[in-house]
Amino acid sequence: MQFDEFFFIDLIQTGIDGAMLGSVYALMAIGFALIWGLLGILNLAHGQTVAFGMFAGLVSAGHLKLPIPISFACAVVTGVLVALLVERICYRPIRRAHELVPMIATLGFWITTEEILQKIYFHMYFKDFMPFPNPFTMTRFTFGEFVIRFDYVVTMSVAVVLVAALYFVIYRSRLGMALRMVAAGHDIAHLMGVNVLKTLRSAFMIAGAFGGAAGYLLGYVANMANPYAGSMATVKGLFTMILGGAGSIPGAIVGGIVLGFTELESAYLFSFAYRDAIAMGLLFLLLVFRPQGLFGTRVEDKI
Amino acid sequence: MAYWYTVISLMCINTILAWSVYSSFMTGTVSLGQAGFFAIGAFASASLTAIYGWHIVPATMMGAVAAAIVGLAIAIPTLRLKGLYLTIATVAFVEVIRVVFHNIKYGRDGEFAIDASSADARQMPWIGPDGPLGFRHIIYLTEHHITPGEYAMWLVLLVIAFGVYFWVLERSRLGFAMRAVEEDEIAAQGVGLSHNFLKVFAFAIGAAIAGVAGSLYAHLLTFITGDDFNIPLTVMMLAYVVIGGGQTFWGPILGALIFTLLPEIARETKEFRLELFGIAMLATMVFRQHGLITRDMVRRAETRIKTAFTGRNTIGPDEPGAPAPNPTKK
Repeated sequence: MQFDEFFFIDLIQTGIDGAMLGSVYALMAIGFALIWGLLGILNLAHGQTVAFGMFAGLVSAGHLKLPIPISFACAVVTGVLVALLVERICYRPIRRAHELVPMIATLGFWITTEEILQKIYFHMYFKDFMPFPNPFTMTRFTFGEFVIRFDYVVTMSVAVVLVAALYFVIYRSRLGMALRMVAAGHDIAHLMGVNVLKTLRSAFMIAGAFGGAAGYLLGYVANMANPYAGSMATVKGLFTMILGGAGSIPGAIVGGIVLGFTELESAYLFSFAYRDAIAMGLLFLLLVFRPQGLFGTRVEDKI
Repeated sequence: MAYWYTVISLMCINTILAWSVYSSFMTGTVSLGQAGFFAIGAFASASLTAIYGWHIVPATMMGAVAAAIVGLAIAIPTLRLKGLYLTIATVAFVEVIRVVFHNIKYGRDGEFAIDASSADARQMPWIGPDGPLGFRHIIYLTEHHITPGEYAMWLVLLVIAFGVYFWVLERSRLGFAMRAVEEDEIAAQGVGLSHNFLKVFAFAIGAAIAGVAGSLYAHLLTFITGDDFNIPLTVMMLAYVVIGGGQTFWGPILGALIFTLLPEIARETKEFRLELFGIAMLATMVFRQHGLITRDMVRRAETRIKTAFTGRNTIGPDEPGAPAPNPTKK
């Protein structure tokens, strides 16, 4: 980095790229935020919906040569199926236990499915990491001095559409009313005639759909399909959710954009090696001063 | 045989790590930051022995002290957070520590281990953490001719010492106070317990214990890098406690032993051992939600041992584990 006439242009360019990348983080974090907000558990297996979604997208678009909308749908459906499996195995049988118990169960699910996915990936389909099919690799817009990659624009638009759909579901549908009721309290929702288990299953399905979509878009932006993407997605999605405020959906969106922005700007301004440390250090400081995150509801303070 | 000595050493280290989580778990504080303290202990003590030539015992103590100081610095601001909010705040700490140790470089040039003129000796070994290459040449054990068997024996003794600490703690006023804070903070405060002091104390002790484990780990493996101390590891430490049972200090031992041994025993199945590991974890959580060892089981076993030694029944009629009343006796 040097202070010349391109400094501010590069600074702003980096910021734009960061915000665009952040929209994928936001999609990953929404799944976490939904499950946390409704159930108060950390779903560590959520990254696996991302990994399986990415894998389904790779197989359907790269291997079977299906058109992009169909392979995107395949990714979303795969994400939903994985999330349903998580709900069935790791949440339903142990929902009355301590909140850590489902968390450790999802950790077991994470380890198991990551290994299985990696074996499928390397033994059945491919010998090496595969490039993700991306027809817009070199397409780009230029606005004066700034360049915007077309695949970032597609990613951002899909993210915006998905988030709008989510808001429509939450605030304008019967399911959304049930979801908000369940978030207020499981017992009260049950007394008011909401089928809590069914609602929670829908919540897992929505989270899975977002995970699958995030997986597809992540492969698309990074231009590589990686069987270990689940771990990365768990870590990044978790931090995004914490940054925005645990359980808050607007928080997850803003948190994703802020995290992407901070990571790329700190890589540009300081050093690439420390980019995660700077982002995480800022996050830690934020948590010390504002424990509920940027948009979280106030942490219940007992005394 | 040396292989099994190493497995035993790893079992001991994992037991100590599980206890480091358990220490703050007793006050209801679920920490996911232990991998950070583990890393601090490992790097601090390995630096002291490898770079400055310290003895391993004071170096381990310094590692523990360093981890405890950082633990205090973390605990005091974050313990205002409640429940899982604290847990996720400590995850961010692990990530910071991991990236810092992944990039840090300090130390000194080492000596040539072999004849300087030979072809293999072109490059001087760098003693100290070397960025992404990690901290190599922690050769304290070979330098001082400590065999893996001896090291494993010392570790077992150390585990027993920590076990005695927790055994005493659980039966002391301090331990009961910690349990009271876990049950209900307001009530604990109401009877005059300083819940903040208890939580910070337990957290700092847990950090120090993780620092000790870090030192032992670094000297056992002779090679550490920042990437060893990642988030899966820190969740794993918590998993030992939750799977084994967080109600008594026996639970973490069992959790750590099983989940260190399982991949080694399952080595026969080669590539499927991690699947087995994950499935075992999942199954334990689904079928035993309070962990493998619960407080009632420990109490029952203690009563049985006491009865066997003294010959009389010391358990009250309402307590768990009491024998069924005998209807024939009047």
